[in-house]
Amino acid sequence: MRTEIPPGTLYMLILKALARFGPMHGYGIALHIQQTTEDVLVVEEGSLYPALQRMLVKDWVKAEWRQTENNRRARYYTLTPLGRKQLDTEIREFERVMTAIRRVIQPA
Amino acid sequence: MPELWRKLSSARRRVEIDADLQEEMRTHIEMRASDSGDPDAARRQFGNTTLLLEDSRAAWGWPQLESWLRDFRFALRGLARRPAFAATVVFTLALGIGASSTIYSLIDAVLVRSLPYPHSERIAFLEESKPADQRSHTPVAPGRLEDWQNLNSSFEFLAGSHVDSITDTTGQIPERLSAAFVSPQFFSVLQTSPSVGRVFTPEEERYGGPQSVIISDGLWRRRFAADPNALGRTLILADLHYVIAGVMPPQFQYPAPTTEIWIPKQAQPALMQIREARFYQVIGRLKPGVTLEQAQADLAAVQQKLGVQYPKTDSGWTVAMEPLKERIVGKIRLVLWLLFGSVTLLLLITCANVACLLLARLNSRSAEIATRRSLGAGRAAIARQLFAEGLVYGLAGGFLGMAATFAGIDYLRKRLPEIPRISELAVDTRMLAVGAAISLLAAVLFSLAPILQTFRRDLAAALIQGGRSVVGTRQRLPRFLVSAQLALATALLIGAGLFLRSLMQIHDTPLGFQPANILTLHVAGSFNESPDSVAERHRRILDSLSAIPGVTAVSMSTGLPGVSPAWPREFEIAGEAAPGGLLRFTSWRIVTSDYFQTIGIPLTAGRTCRMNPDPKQPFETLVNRGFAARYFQNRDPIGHSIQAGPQGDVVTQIVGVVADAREDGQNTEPQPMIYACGFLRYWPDSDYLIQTRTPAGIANSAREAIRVVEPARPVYSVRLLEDALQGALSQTRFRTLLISLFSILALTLAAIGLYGVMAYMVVQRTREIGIRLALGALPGQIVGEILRSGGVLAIAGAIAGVALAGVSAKLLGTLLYGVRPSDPTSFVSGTGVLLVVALLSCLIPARRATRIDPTQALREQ
Repeated sequence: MRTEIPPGTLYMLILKALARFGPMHGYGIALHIQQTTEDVLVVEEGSLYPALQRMLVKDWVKAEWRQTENNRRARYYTLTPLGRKQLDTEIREFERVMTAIRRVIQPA
Repeated sequence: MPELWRKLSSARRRVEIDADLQEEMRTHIEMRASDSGDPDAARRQFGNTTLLLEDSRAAWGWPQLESWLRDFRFALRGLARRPAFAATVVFTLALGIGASSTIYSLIDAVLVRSLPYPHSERIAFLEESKPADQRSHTPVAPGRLEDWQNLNSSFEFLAGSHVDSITDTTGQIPERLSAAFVSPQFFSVLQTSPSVGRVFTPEEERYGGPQSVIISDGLWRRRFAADPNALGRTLILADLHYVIAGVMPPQFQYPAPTTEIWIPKQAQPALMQIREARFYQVIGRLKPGVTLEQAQADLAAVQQKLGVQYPKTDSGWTVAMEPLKERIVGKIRLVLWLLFGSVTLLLLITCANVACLLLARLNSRSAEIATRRSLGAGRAAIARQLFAEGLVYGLAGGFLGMAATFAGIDYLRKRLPEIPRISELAVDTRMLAVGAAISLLAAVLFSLAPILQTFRRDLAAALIQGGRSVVGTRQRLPRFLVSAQLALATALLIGAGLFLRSLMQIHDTPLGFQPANILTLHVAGSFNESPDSVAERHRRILDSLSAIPGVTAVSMSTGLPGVSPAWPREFEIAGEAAPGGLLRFTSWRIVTSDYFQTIGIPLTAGRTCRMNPDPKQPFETLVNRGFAARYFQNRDPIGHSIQAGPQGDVVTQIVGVVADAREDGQNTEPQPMIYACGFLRYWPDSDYLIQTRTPAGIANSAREAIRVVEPARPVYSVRLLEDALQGALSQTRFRTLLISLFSILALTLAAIGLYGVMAYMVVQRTREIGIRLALGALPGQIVGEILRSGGVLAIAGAIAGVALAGVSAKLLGTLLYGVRPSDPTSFVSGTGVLLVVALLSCLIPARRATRIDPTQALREQ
């Protein structure tokens, strides 16, 4: 079964993917999220782009056009120091929420 | 802020960003397609490219702002495309906002705002009164005021004042100034200090002290060009030298808005002893925390004690109190609320009308909106767009309405100088805020109805119809709104009818005297003169006036008939005790003996009075029939004596009876009246009445004749008695005019609204009507049907309007004259006018319906 990604975690997933695998283009990010989560999480692929634009505006990522291995022109996104800091924040926040949720669902 | 900077600097590379995004997305889909081998699936998985592109672009912009701007541009384009429609909406709205905020400003300035004195809610107005007689409210005697000051425990300060006019001979030409003589503590009660200079010192307020004067801001500017060195200069008033001590700020307008100088009364000790000399208008500042009721009880107890101490003059009297603001604006309140009510009805009508117009427009746009929605426009986006339109209309209308308000306020200030506190009426920020709020509210309301209607409507159905209409489309909201407008218009028409009929009644009622061919004027005089010299002067002037060729009669009175109400005064019929041992009150006028001949009041019994130059001899007196009937029933009043004042200090003998005349006002029933004949010794500034065949032409001769005998006295208020009578009714006429104007506007708007709804209905039913005409329906049938459906709206509105008028007319009560609030003529004619106009506004669409060409109607749709 495939699940829509939880709301608000898209930034975190993108940032994490970039932190782990280095500069990637949008399609690459989509693939990595899918593969890493063993196809459990599915991103509506297009929705990456508005998110990436917002991240560019916030200076969490940088973008530059490069050639892919298959000789296509693609835009590669690189994590900035600010983005790395943001990733930590996002993860911390996510853990906090998860812990809270776990407390609710765990039998007492 | 780097983020803001990045956004701003991106503005130049919009195209580049867009191209990048498009290419990026295309590449993405291609890569996915070549990986999976299924291009369609790749596209599906990617999502709505257009929407995503929009979202991505939004990251670089200010999406909220931009879409608002876009909506505004869109709304403005729509406005420009249909200028007639836009103009109707904007002008209707401007009319509603302009009329209502003008009247609301008036009410705010006069009724709502506190008087312009610190803690003005603590200022009370005090009078003497006799509980036994309603007409007995009188000013206060200075001696009694002093007793009240000493004995009460509720007031911080109590002070009296009386107005007078005084002749200023400082310059070349004598000028009459409007003066207020004030007791000590006067300025403390009002807690207002001069803006320049100082208040009076205790020495200046004492009898025989130095003479000083405080002048108004207006006089200071007019006479001294606002020169601060005016302080210490001297004014020669009634031949005495007064040193200017201060200048009051412009908003200080007590006791009268016209007051130009304040002078300490410096009451003589002898005057303080005369407990019958009631002439002070008394105001007092309540101590903090003391209520008016407590103060009333306190002073009533004080007066009770005085009644024991001075049984002859003080027993039976008590104190009447009201807030000063009530005293100043109380009489105008009902009229203003009436205007408030009518203008609110008008505002409601304009709102309903605009809503109707926008709804009708929306109906023709339903297809466009449905298309937009099916292309992915969210509800919020459509609502925002409709709201932006409402806002454009609201703001444009609001802006014009504000301009109208400025003009309206200016007009009211010029047109209604007699309304109290009118000088405080001004365009202020509060009014502007209210106006802005009204236009915003209007915008919300305008867009709300269309928004709700859009969301209720079945999207698919609207698309399928594609702007085509279905037979029998229900337009419940517009129909209701039109009926409501008709109802409000009916109510206003009936109200206007009641006022018009009142005015006609006033004009048709015989006055009891002949106002034609009479010139009236004043010759300035002052209470400072001795009564003997006043009487002498009056006689001199009367003689010189009657010597003018063409003058047929000359006389004087203490007030203009039908213009200034006669003052009630106590009296006793010699040898008869009034029931309960109380004094009676009735209207008095002091007149010269030719008064009755001058204004044509016929003598009905006895003879006319003779003037007795010796003040120690009793006056001769005439009474009117009302007086004779009330106090002498079947007896003959002639030969009886009347005493005024408890000591009988004025004794008069009745020598004749005259017919009743409307002395107190054209819309006031004649009261029992005593005319005492004398040279008005105690009335230095009375009215002269000159009867001549050419009253307007005589004015200059009259001035000249007076200048010869009284060169130092200004002659003023030279006017025809007829003009004065007209002037006395100007407020009544003005409110009738305003309400008639409101009702005509309301009727016009309601007619436009009805026309709009009916015309729209005909357009909607073009196809149906076309088919029916083709099948042989008679034009008469079609017309009848359309008139019927319009008639239902009109009749429903008329019924509701009659009900509304029936309820609210009762509140008009005292504003009406000679007509009952349920006056059938006004109700029938108001409703009739509405129905006729409604019929006319249905006729045009009905006729248009019969001209529908069946073939064309079918082809078009």
